[in-house]
Amino acid sequence: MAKTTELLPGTLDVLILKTLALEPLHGVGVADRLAQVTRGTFQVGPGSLFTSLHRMEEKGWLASAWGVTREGRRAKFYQLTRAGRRQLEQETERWKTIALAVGRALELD
Amino acid sequence: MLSRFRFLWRNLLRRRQADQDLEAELGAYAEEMNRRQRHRVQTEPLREQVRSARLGAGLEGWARDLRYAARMLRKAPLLTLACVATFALGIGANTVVFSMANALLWRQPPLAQPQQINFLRILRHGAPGVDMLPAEVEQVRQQTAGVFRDVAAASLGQLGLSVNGHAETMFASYVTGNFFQLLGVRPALGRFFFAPTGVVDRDPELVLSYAYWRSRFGGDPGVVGRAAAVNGQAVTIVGVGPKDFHGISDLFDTQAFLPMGLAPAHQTGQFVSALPLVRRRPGGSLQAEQAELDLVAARMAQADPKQFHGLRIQAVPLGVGLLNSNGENPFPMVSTLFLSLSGLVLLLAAANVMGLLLARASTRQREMAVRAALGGGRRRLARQVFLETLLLALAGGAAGMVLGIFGSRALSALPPAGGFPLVLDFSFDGRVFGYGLAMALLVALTAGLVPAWRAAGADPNDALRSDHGGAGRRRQRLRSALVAAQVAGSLALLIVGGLFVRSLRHAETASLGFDPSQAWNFSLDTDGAGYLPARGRQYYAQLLPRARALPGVLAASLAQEVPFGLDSSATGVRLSPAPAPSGAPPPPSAGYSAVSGGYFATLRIPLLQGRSFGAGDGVSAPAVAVVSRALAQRLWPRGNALGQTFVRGDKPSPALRVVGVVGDVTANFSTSSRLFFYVPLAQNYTPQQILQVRLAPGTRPAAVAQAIARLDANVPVSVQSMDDAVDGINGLYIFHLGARLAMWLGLLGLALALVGVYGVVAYSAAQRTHETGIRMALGARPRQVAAAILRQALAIVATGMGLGLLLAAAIGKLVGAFLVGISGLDPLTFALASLLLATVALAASLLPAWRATRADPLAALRCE
Repeated sequence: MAKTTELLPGTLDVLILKTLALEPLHGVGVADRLAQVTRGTFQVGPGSLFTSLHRMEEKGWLASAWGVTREGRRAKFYQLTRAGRRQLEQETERWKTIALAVGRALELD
Repeated sequence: MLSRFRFLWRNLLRRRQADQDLEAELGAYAEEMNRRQRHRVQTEPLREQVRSARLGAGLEGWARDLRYAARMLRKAPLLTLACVATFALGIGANTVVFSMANALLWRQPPLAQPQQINFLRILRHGAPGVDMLPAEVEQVRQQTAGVFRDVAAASLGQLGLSVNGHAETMFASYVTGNFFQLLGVRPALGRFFFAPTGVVDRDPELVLSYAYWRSRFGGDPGVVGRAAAVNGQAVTIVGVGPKDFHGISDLFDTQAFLPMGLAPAHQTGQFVSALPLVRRRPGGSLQAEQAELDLVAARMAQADPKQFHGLRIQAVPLGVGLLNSNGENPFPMVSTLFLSLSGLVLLLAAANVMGLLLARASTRQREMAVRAALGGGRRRLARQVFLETLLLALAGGAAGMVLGIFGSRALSALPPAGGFPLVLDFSFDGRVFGYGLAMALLVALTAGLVPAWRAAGADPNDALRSDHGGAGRRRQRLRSALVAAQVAGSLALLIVGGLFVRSLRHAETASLGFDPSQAWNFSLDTDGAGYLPARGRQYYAQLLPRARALPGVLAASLAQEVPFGLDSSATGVRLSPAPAPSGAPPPPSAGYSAVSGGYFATLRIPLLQGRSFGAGDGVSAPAVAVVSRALAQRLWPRGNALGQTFVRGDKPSPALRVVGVVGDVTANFSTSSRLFFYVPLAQNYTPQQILQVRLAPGTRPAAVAQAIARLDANVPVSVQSMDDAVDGINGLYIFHLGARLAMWLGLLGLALALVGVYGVVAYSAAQRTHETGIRMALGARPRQVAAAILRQALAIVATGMGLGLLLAAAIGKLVGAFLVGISGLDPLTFALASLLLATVALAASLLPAWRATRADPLAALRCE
């Protein structure tokens, strides 16, 4: 099992937004995709995952609808709204700035 | 933002649907995970986690607790009823008092931008007087165009309105043409006067007040255009004022408005006085206005030093209607006093409820401890207990406001004697309801915080183990302190109530300086018949001998003003006609009246020195005066007043020579000043005169009224007995109102204290059942047991009464100014109220103490 790291606070939302930027996904799909893109660095428990999904839906960043998975099962799919896309862009910018600053600071040390 | 409202709506009101949806989503997830055979997924904790993060999750918890609180209250109906009733009494009393303060202080007539409107108060020669001549108003108007958009004026008087041959006396204002425009009111019917710029117009028109239109014309819309006669002069009714508009005073209804140009004095070129009203330009301030007024006053004084020396013009905000003769508004002080007293009642109510809740908290200790042991958070438990108090307070507030509406109706329906059109509209409006709600929240905080905090602090181990923990004793100490505070507050309320009642008794029985019994006043107005002064003099000259000749009439006289009448005049008096040097203390202010010969005999005012007025004091005779003993002593402290002279400050007149000194008379209860002087009516004619007759015992005044009508039916007349005048609006009316209110508050406080004392003694006796049982088993007599319980109760009551006496002394010092004949520290009142409270407290303790002695020792011991 790959070494896992705790998520920085606030990063889960932006990661979920990113995974949903390509296509609508259901809960399991989001978890799978997250594990895949971070190469197993982050393990997201279902508690935080669904809490985050519902919170972002209430904020209007995600929209949800019942659909059918590739395996033919019913599941709730989430997709980005326009507000969600805007949020993703903003968060990405912010993340880059932080990453750059933190990286620089650590190198100088 | 919108999506949040949508989800909040869904989470709170479509909860079941939202939960089903969540359940399905998580079920699908669990199924998928099971299929992959990774691990079993429990959906339950997942669901709780998501739900607690949802929008409105906190509110949902509140709602759940609220439902639980309501259920708990339903389960203890007696306690709930007691708490709600206690709150209802406290809040009800407060809303009644507040509704009065609201009507007296804050309710605004329907004026446009009332904050821009002011009265002007005029001080001549440094002494207060309220009125101004129309010509002076015009002078002010022209000179202040910079700050004032307009200056109007209104004078107030009684006149006879006759419609369809039926004459009635009414209160009316002669107003300048711009009066309604300045106030920004619109007619409910018809129109107002046409005089956009002119201050004075003479069109024979009449505007009725809304209230008078309703009462005399039954709200008939056809009244506009109808012909009427005012003081014998034909006028046309052109309009009706708006609802809730009562003219320049909110305290009584100005029943009709007439153009200033119609004022009789205006037509005969006589003195008429008017109260100036101004509206400042938008953006102006009271300070800028006052600065401008100071300049105008200085200019007027310079231009006419004889008339205007020392003139000051003050801008007075439009508060409650007219000011009293000292230019002071007593209502804020009185309202504050009664609001404080009713606030004290509410505190007592809150203390009672808190006592009940604390008593119950001890029986609920187990429930709380169980909930705490099961993981109920402390904050959650505290919230729970607080919500119960809040529900009680809100229910009590609602019930209290219903009580309050009835209470204030009862107060509004208490008209003073004498047919004075007093506006007593203490009806509830949004402000009163808001106050009631605020009071409910306040008592919820006062009564609920300590029990809530206690609930949060409950130690599960302590409570589950035993009932006789140290916490119980602590709680008992707190309850005892609470009851002591209640006794203190209640005693203070009782004493203040007693002070007001004793003050009323004093005012009722005080030596007035004259004898009101069997004396009747007939107010007459020859202006009301449209007579010029010459005809008026003739009328009064004929009236007096006729009245004296009637059988059953012991004495009769005429006067401009009588004690406790609707009008009262005062002026500064000086010894020398020369203007007082600046910086000198203002001259003493004395009341005055013009009276005919025989006045002192009719009212039985003792003549102490010199003579009364007689036929020799005619128009062309030297100006003379009779002074009250107090004025004589004030002006000539050493020496004889007879033969001395003094000058009145209000109008130019020759020095008055004192020909007599009479006993002091109480002309009203609002001042303790007995400075008064009388001048002969013959030298100071006025068309409005009052005929006094003293009737033989058992005689009714009807014969006098008939004689007046026979002499001239055109002169409007109104009758009032001197006893009614003393009870009336300028007499005891306010004292009756105040005493009634203070007494009710005192009794309410007493009832609350009774319940409080009973509750704490009963509870303490119940707590000591065990101990009592042992003592009885060991041979203690019932009397000893009862004595032990009583001793404890009386210690609490005595402490409370000590504090209460101190509190009452502090309040008594403040209310001293409103009392007649007694000081705010009246020992008799203090003693009687203490005795009453002590008796009631003893009675409240006896029953539970007696009950404790009936306890069966064995049963008491078994109960553990």
